Amino acid sequence: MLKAEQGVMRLVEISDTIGQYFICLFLLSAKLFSIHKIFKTMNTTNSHKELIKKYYDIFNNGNFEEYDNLLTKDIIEHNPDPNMQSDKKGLEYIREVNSTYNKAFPDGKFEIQHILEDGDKVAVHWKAKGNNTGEFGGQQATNKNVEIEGFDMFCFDGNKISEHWGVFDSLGMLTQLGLTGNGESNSQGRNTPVGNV
Amino acid sequence: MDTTNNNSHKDKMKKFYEAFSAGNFNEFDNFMTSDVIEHSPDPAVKSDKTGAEYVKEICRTYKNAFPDLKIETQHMVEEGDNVIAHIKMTGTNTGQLGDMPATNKRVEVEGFDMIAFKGDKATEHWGVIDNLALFKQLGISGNAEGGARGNAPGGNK
Repeated sequence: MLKAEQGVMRLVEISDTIGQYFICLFLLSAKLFSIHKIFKTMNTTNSHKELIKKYYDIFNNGNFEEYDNLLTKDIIEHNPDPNMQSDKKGLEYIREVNSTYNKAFPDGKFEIQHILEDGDKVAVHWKAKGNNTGEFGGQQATNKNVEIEGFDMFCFDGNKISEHWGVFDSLGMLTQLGLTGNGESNSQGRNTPVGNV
Repeated sequence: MDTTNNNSHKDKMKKFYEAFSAGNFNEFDNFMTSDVIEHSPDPAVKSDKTGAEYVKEICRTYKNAFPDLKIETQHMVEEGDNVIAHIKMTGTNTGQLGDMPATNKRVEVEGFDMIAFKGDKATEHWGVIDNLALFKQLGISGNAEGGARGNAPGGNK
């Protein structure tokens, strides 16, 4: 009788230890999980480069509604596009510029050549290729292939792009399209393409 | 002064732009290797030269065309051995640029440079300057106005 009681007590003790062991294991894994989560958020806040790669993917895929997750609503464009006239501002301006280029060059693709990150800024050197099968800046499609280079500089506010500067070879683009005729008059409606440049 | 190694690439680039603005082309050898690779040759500068001598020739051409030329850095982003600089160039076109006679117009254009360093010298360069803005400000448009004929910058014919 006594032996049996002792045996039961012993069993209780053992199962208690096992229980504690499992509780410890549970706490440890919970801790590891939260550490993992902290790392993940750290990574997200740090990988501005990844967000910028997404920015170019959005253009390449034409999913311009995704800009909402990537740009602040009042993003500042420091270098408005010389071939575009628009009353829009902030995110809506950027969306208009890029969807206009996407319509003009439906197969247009950006390829990142270099991407550098430094503090809250990311700078990108890119190449873009595309066939001008859509209307562009009041001009009919030229069906010409264009390959140009450019640079963008982005400034982040948290995980969203809040400022942009950029220069690209727009003269090269117009030259390849055969549209350099009246340099000034892109905004003034019809512009006869000039073949000799 | 070059204080820390970390900042020295940016410092080097700032000094390079100062030397360019001042026309001290003999200082260029401190900033780049003699066989520096120019990935973005300037269509307005025709030359058989290569490496540092070619870069000097491009810069000399612009300095002659814009004797008061000044290059200011707007932003610099550095990572590893690479730096991208966003620059603003101002100047008055009182000298010939390529085949184009002086226009006496003042220009302000933006551009970007990307430099790859090995040690403390530049070994490669890529760059874009807003040639469309430059030529609009100079009053030269694509369809051959006087000296601009046959020398449309930005395009290879």
